[in-house]
Amino acid sequence: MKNLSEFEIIESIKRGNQSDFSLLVDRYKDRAYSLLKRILKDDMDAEEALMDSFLKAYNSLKNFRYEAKFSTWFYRIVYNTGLTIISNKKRKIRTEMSSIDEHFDLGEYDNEIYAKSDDSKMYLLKLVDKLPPRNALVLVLFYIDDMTLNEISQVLDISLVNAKVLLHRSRNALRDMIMKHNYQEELL
Amino acid sequence: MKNEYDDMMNKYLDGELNQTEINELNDMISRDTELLEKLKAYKLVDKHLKDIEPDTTPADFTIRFMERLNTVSEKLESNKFFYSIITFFFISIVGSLVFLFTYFSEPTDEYNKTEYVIEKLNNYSVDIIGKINEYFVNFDVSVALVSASLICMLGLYFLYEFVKGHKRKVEALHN
Repeated sequence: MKNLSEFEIIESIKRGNQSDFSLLVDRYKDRAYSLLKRILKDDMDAEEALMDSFLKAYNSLKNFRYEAKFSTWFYRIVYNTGLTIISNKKRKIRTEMSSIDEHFDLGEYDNEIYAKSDDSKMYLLKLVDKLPPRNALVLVLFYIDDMTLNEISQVLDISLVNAKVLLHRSRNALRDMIMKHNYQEELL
Repeated sequence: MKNEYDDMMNKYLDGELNQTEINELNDMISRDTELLEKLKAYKLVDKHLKDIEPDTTPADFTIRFMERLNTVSEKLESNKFFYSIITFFFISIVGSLVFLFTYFSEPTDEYNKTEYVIEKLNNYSVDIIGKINEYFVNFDVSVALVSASLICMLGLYFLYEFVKGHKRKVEALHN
């Protein structure tokens, strides 16, 4: 595999070396896939959306001017692609992104998820999946992608303050899920 | 009040509390077991989320994507070729018509502009191609040129579609 910096890869693609785009795909596919799984809640949809996102990124790469980090720019494409797919499927985004309080109530099914989960991390990730897309997304961007709140606010197109509030609310929701079902001991 | 401590505990996790605030939080959790349990749950969430690895895409994802990218790029190139042909003919036709109606000088009173241009064009053709112009003397040459261009353009379009369809069939056979 070529050991190129991100800047070198992008410039090479801009010069017409289409095959170098596979280096960017390899770098970002798993993280972007994680994001899309949180948004779409479906593996197949997430994979299809990931393909679309990379195609859009490739076609728009000539317009990328390094005003933001490539990851921020790309995740914004991923996020918007995810939202478009939700919209096309006539899912009501407003309903999905409504008050978090409606979403973190664990029922019998969730106990089943816990029983079937291989380990505590997997269980926690499944709890994250139960959050509304934007709340799940902010946790993935912050913890898995190590993005700053400033970068997250750019990806989600919200203010820095709102990004912070969203992160806090998402953490609160997970905390409440765990406490409500007394799973602290199991997760320790 | 509880919400205020929720916010404070979130800031604690993000390392945004100063020493005074940390002492205040310590004081509160030492007196309130519910708050202590909350903080434990927060730390648990924070710790486990930090350890989570991203989901993995199917192993052949990059290969499949690059194949799709190549297909899309080839299609775009074909479209570019087609559009360039259309553009060329369109510009040629418009250019020819503009040339016909502007190259020659203004008509005299005896003729209207179209007849004047046709006559001039016929004379011009006689000068250039000699006796061949005899075939055109009785025709509206500009109409003939435009018709020929349109026929060429349509012919090329159908040829392009035929080649494209043939290529698709060959690819289907390979797959």
